[in-house]
Amino acid sequence: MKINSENIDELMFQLLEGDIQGEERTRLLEAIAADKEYSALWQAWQQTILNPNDELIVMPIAPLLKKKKVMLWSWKYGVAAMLCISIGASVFYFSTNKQDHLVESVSKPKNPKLEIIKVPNNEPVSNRVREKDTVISFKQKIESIAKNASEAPTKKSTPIPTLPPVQYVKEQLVEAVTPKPSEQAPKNLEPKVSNPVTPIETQFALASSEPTGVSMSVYTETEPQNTKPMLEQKIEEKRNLLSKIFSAPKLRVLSDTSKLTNRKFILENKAYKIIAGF
Amino acid sequence: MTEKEYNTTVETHANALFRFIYKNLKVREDAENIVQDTFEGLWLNIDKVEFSKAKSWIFTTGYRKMIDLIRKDKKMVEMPEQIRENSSEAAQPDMKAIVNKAMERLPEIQRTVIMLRDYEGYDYAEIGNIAGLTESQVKVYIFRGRQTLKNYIVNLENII
Repeated sequence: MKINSENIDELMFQLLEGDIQGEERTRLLEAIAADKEYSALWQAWQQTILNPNDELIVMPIAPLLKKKKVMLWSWKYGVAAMLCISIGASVFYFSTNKQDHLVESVSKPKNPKLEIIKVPNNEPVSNRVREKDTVISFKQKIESIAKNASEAPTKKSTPIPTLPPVQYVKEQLVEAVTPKPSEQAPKNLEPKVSNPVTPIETQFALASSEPTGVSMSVYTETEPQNTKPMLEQKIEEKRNLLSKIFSAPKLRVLSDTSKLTNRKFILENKAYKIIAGF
Repeated sequence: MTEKEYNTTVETHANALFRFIYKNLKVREDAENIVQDTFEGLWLNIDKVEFSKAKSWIFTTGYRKMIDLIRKDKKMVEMPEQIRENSSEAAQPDMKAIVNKAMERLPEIQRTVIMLRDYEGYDYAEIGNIAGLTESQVKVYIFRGRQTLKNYIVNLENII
């Protein structure tokens, strides 16, 4: 391409912008250098390129940076995370160790005290209910047992009913009383008698006609009414036997909860002392 | 773009953008305000702007803010040509000052594309994206601007 006055500006602009490269660029530069007028124009064109290093125009850029703001956000997130972790840890700790705290408070009191349980010297240690000693007649005792047995056959324990005070009785024979059908004892409690047995209460004073302070009841099983003479004979034999054995006997009932045999029946006189416990 | 990349963009291109704006407006406070507004916009759109396109984004935004300010406040006041020439002759400035004076005489769009080309090293396509022009238009504006500068320099040399 030849340089002329019409295309000189366009060619120099292309050279300046780097649009012309290679041999053509070299040839054009040599042609420009050969002509003095073209060289002056080429220098003028080269002066149109601005150099960024010619002048330093700066501004403070610190306010534009976001480092402080980023740090602030990080700090806020850190505080929020710490709060969440603290709350979660405390909830977890108290929820899991609640029972341990209770056990520890019971097992390790701050001010332990030794408690000494005083046991009375003369009092027997037993979980049984202590009952007062009562004096009841043997007859009343047997009557209560028979009554409870007839009313509740399966009942194991027999409470002692409230009995009237001991009375002095004289020797007498009580007529046999036939109980009503409803008062008959169950069959399963009649071990030796095949037929329904009619209990007869016999109350008598033993041996002496004097008041002895002892009341004794004998619960016997008798034959039917048609065997009354035989019964009276047997009773007479027993009475005689007892009168021989016991002379002015005394019967006492003692309660002692400290032993297995908490009931003692003591039959005694001047010659003998019979102790029965159950 | 991350916060770290944003700060890197500030440290790398903030002064270049300020120089570009200041060379057009010739008012330091206005140039600083435009740069701050531009980077505030970049921070607000930090999730949308890629780091590789951050420089183009801030120059495009800064250029548009500058044009808006020029059109709104009429900040650019053309000095009478005779006064400029007289002052240049009186001071007998060097070639750099002569070129700066010649730049002030250029139309806004020619001055902009030349500064983007020379100061920031953008190619025609990038300048077109920033200024909203095609590559051909950018090339034409750059040619006309340089030709005006050359004529100004040649004529001044002839006068001197």
